[in-house]
Amino acid sequence: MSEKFKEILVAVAGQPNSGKSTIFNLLTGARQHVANYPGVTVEKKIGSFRLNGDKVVVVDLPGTYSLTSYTQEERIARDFLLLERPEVVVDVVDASNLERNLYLTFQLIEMGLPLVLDLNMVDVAGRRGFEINVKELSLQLAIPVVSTIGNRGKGKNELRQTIHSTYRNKQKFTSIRLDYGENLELILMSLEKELSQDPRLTEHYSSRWLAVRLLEGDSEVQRLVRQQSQKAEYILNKVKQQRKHFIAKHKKAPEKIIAQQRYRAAGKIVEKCVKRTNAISKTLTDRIDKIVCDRFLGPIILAAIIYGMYQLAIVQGYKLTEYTWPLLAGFRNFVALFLPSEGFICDPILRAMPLGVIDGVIAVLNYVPIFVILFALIAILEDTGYMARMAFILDRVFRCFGLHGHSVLPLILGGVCVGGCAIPGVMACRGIKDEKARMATILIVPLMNCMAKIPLYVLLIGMFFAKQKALMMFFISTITIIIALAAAKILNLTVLRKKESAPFILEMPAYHLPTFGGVMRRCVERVWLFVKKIITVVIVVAAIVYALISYPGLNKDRTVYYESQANQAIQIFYKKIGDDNLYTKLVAESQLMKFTTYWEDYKKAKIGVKTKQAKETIGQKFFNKNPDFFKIVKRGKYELEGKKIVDKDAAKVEKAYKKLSKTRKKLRREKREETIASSYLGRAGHFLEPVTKFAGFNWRVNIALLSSFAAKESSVATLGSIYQSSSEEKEARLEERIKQTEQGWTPLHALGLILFMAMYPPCIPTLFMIKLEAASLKWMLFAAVYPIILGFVMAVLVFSGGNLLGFSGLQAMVVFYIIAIAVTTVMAFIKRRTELT
Amino acid sequence: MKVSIAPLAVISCGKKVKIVSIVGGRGVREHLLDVGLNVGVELEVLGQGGSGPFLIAVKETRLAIGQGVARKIMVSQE
Repeated sequence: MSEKFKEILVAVAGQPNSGKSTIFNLLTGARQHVANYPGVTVEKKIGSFRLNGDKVVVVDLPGTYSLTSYTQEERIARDFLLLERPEVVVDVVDASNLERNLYLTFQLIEMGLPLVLDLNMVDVAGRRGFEINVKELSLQLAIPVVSTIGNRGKGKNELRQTIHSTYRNKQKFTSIRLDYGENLELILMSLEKELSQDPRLTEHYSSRWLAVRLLEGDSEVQRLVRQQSQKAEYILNKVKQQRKHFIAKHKKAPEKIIAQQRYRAAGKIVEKCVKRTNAISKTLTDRIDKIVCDRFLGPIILAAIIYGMYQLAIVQGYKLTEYTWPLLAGFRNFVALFLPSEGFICDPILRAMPLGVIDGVIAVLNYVPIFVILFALIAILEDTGYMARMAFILDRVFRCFGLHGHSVLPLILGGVCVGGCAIPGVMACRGIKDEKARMATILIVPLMNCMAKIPLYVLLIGMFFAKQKALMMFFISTITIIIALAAAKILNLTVLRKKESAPFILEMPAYHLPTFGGVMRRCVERVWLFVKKIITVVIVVAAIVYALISYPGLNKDRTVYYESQANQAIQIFYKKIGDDNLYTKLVAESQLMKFTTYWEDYKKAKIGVKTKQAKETIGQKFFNKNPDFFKIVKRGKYELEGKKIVDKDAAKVEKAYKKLSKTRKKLRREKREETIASSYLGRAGHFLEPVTKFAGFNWRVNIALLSSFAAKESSVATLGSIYQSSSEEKEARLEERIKQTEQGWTPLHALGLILFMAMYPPCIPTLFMIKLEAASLKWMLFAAVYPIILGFVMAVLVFSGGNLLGFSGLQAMVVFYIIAIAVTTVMAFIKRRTELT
Repeated sequence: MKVSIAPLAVISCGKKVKIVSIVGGRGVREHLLDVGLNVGVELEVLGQGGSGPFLIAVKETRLAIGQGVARKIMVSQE
């Protein structure tokens, strides 16, 4: 060993559902996404641990069944192994599925990488009656084998040590060479010889692997050879000849024989190493699936589970926000203490701007409890394995709309059951092999209920449908998928009608009991991601929105008008208390503003204080701060040296000031409204009002919608700052503030807004992702424009139509729902092309 | 004993069958191979799809398989 500590690169490979991510977490202790759902690991995850002084850097590869270049994930995994040349590769294998998993192991061996086999979930295998001889397996494969139970943390140290020792002995690393039979081996041998003469090829790739893949006719490897080798044409020609020759002679393609040999070899090894003690014909998973995947019961259970999720997350979570709101309001007031104090009518910008931004952010943070519950529930569904069943059940439906069973994962991530994010959703579309279905899915994922849309739903439902909260939430989340399906079909029939369907093959993992730690970790991880997004994106958006709703500001005449109004009110105040009042001097001139702050602080401090003792403490505090002001705010009734005193002068001041305070608030509110109305965003909102009024959106709502284009979280945030509390006295909840301002709002207004929001164009980050995944600017623009039209038409239908027919909010929803289902059903039957065989 | 060959798509629930051939292109074949569906492999139909996907058991693996694929897998039953 060298004196210096090394950095060792280790890759974790494995088939889907082998518990690969769990092993990755086990090794690194990193907070990572773990799921029971096939193909969830798309991006590269890196973690590290220290062992014997060396730093071991672990990379989690996407789960793949093999290392051909059939899918994006396979390509990612293969390219990493070939180009980054990790020093050790850990192959995670599901012990119950050893035979199938060995298929990948053989390919890894062929690539010539130092390999450690991790026999995972041996406990489950044991329960199913498999007895695996680890020593024999290691002998047969000629590589080290470690058995682990990933979710219970068993085998961690042994695995780490084995990785390290494999690294140290990597020069001596040898493994078995799979024998493909005499006929093939002869060809392979000559090919290998040819390939090994080109140093540019052998530098990166094992010549055995290249030879086998070429003979199998892998077009990706052909491309690779063409790129790297000068003799490419010669080699490829030779391979072509050999293949032709072979097929003519043996009446079978080489790749078929190669595959058969691999399976035969795997079968032989399993025969030698695995003993089946008690064969269970029907596992518990099978018995559960009998019910859960039933053609009739399945969808009912699915609907019930989704409904239950809403009940728990939205209804119960909403109750929790009643407790968290005071904390957030407290934070705002705490920050306010450090900012310059407010003016009588005009606040200094250093106060107004930060508070505007904070108002925006806490309006969204208020919903964190809902997200915590929601993410925990989604994590449970993923970890148990139910997500794959959802794909299974829904494939039947999806087929009719030109989608794919695999479309479920993107849609779920995008928020089919409320609370996803379109960005990972669009990214997950990579897993769909069917190009047509993939594009359709990319385009409809943003129509799902991403978590940024939920705050607005929750807000409006809380205001207008308080009694039918869960039902409305159920309506909204199902209507989005119903509309999205129809949209997918239309897209399929129009802009995307070229490619044929790819096979639907989906592994159904065995059911697992989720671990508390695993669920919590993922829940916290996702909540944190969300909060981070708010802290970064929303702050910026809120700041920009603040500027847009505050500038260019009122003109001079109006400013002067408000000032004179304020002065008038102040003069009346002084007149009322009179010159002979003992307190007149104390509240004169600049003292008046001081008193105003004192008054507001006192009112604020008293909010929510109930016990007598607490009241006395506050009284004492304010008495110490300013005894004279204290006498006023106490309406002249206070105790002095044990005697109860009634101070008429103080009472008079209090009464007069109360009026002044009211006027002040009114003026502030009016000025604020006028400022917004004449601001840049206000002008745009007004400009659009003649059109949007058919959907029930007034200019205030227009402003919120315009600003949420940057990130939908801002819709509530913007509403938060538009309906900023005109009084500083009490930080009222946004619901109350909106209700104060929009007296004329009906549930139909809310419904139109909700439906528009449901369809609203993807936020800017999502649009970037669409451009990346669809590889075209044209599709990105299309994805931005079509939802606006769709959403607007629906909002107009519901609002104007509902008003015309005199519907209540719930009636309109039900009617709209039925129409949507009818349209979608018709869509399902249009030109249902029979699948090609 | 009579041995008949038919596409998997027509096999009813609960039947145990053996794959005799896979009709179709390289893509389908490779994908089926990846999940362990190879010629000679025995499988059991756990759920007949009707219009939707099939649920099958191959050794310890449970797979959902679309109609299109089920038509490409030729199986023999005793």
